[in-house]
Amino acid sequence: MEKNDRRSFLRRSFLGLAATVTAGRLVYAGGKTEHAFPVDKNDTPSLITRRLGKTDMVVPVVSMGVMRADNPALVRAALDKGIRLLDTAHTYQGGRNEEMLGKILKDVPRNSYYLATKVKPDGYDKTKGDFTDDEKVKRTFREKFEISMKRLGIGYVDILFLHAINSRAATLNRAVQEVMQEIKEEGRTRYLGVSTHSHEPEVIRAAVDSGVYDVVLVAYNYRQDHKDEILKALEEAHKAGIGVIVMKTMAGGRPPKSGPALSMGTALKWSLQSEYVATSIPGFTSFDQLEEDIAVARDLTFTEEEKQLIAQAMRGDTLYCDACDECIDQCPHELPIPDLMRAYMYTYGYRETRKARELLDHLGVTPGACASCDECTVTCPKGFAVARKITDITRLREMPQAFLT
Amino acid sequence: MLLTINISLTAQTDTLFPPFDGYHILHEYPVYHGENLWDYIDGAADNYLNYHFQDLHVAEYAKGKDRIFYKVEIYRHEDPLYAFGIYSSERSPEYRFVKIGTQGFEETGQLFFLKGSHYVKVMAVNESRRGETELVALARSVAEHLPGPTAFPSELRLFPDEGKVPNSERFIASDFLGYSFFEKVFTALYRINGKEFTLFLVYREDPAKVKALLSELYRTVEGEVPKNLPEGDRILNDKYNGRLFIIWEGKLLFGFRDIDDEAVIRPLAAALLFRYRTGERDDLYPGTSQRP
Repeated sequence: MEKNDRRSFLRRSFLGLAATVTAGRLVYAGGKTEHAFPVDKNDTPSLITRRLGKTDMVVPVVSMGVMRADNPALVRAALDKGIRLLDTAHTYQGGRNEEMLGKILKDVPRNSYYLATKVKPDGYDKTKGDFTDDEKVKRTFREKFEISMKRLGIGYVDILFLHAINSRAATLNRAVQEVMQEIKEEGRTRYLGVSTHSHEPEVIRAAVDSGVYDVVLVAYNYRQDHKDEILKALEEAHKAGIGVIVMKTMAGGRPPKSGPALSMGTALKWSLQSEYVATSIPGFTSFDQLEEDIAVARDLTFTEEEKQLIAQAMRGDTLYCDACDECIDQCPHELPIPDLMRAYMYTYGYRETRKARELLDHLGVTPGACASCDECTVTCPKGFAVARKITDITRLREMPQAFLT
Repeated sequence: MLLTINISLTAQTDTLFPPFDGYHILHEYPVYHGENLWDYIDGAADNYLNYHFQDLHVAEYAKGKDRIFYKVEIYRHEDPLYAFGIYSSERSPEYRFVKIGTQGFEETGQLFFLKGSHYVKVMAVNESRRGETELVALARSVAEHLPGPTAFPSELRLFPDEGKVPNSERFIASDFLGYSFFEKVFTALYRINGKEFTLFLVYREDPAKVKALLSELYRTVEGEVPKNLPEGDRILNDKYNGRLFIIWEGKLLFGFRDIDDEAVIRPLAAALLFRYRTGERDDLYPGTSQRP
């Protein structure tokens, strides 16, 4: 890992900004208005950078997933803070995302940023997990790519991804690889990649075996059940010289079914701990989020609080039932155990006893539900003491309504 | 229990998709929710989730031995306002528009439209059906089958017509101008005297909420809030977004971005205020709980 201040980074990398860089201020002539971005009060940002596989791209560990952003000022601010790689796709916002970037980038020196876009051809047969019509694959990939390039208004992209692939067969599809390689030979893209957010190890290994892809873009976060397997595959990619970019570091931003939710910054740090990962593409849409991500790009070390949160998240929390339904067939009285665990979580996790009581009333489970069993026959994969929790929570049905919160 | 759930989902799915003469309907896709929308549309899902996506039903229209000709995707959002939001985020003023549902736009081989809380995509899978009137007929049939109003959000009526780029109006659910507190904003693009700029507006039933929003904007942009923040116009110098010309009156806050020419701004502002004061905004969604 290299730690650069911004000026050193600009001097050393193959990128060289035009003479418009003066005293740390980057002036873009955007349409009718010139934007002069302010420099941070603490001088220029120092971002941690890593090389993207065998490519010539050295990038900060945080890049920008543009997919939801529709504010040009945010993209410009990201570039001004030192972010260098912008990631979009043919389908994002129905094409408006690429168009927006095209409008911004026409006034930005081409050698001051990297751009990645993604295309997926028609003709994918989900039952076979592969593309099945070579002619359609090549034609539609090319058509969509040309539309993307027109929207972006640039002569080439730095990375062209095969978009959202989830099988080895599709990754190795000959027709896809042929059309992608043609585009690369034409100089319209500098590198080729494949993106995936399911069956990641399979796709990563296929990319390694293909000898065609220079970069992989994969979903990788602390909540994935198979994150260890993904990491192994990332190691293989790294050793093969394939650059690794990670996404979905917050697992879509939704709260987990079990365990505490990490902050965006902590979750992002977690995904960047491995040296096999070159950069990430969080999809920030506000300046606050940009600042949080830039802070991560400056310092990947965890605070003590973050370490505890991560340990808790890895362990899972005894309040949150995974609703795996393993228990349902084990109870001789066919109690609705997952729902009862949910009522337990409402009470002890969220302190919403009224909500728990409504659920219990709806379920109609009485306080003595477990009394007739000498011993509980349910074995919970998470180790929940099911009978104890049911006995505890069903007592809520006897509590006067006035005491409920 | 699983069987019951599957049956009820199928029944619900069937009612969403109308029969279409000569075709039978295939339901090979599950119903997608917030948890698994990424599996279907990958990173594009985040934008849909931001617009309060509820579920997605997908069906294919086929002939003979399941030779598929059309694919229909029905994205349901929390209410018509959020459905308009996602629709407008993917709409471009350059598209070819059709009157289907509330509105639709078409490109070769596909037609996307808005109706009520639904954003619908009808796509020709079979090459021979691209650009055919049958695609339009199918889209129209789906639209007629769906419930919901066929009018745009009433706030759009506040935007003056002079210089407005048609079909450029948008509803931004969150993070407008890159600020997390700036949500539920309507915008429209304008071109006047060779200048292209954005007019944005916020309407709240409670003027105190508008004041709170303006205060937060001041605090963020200028570091402090003026004492006794008055209604009226002002200029804020935003280090990221440039100069913002902002006007507050009662339940309405509106502003201009990417333009400094007051000779252009003032007539538009006057026109908008006139519409506001004369009550040209009619609430067309009675009972919708999600109005700002």
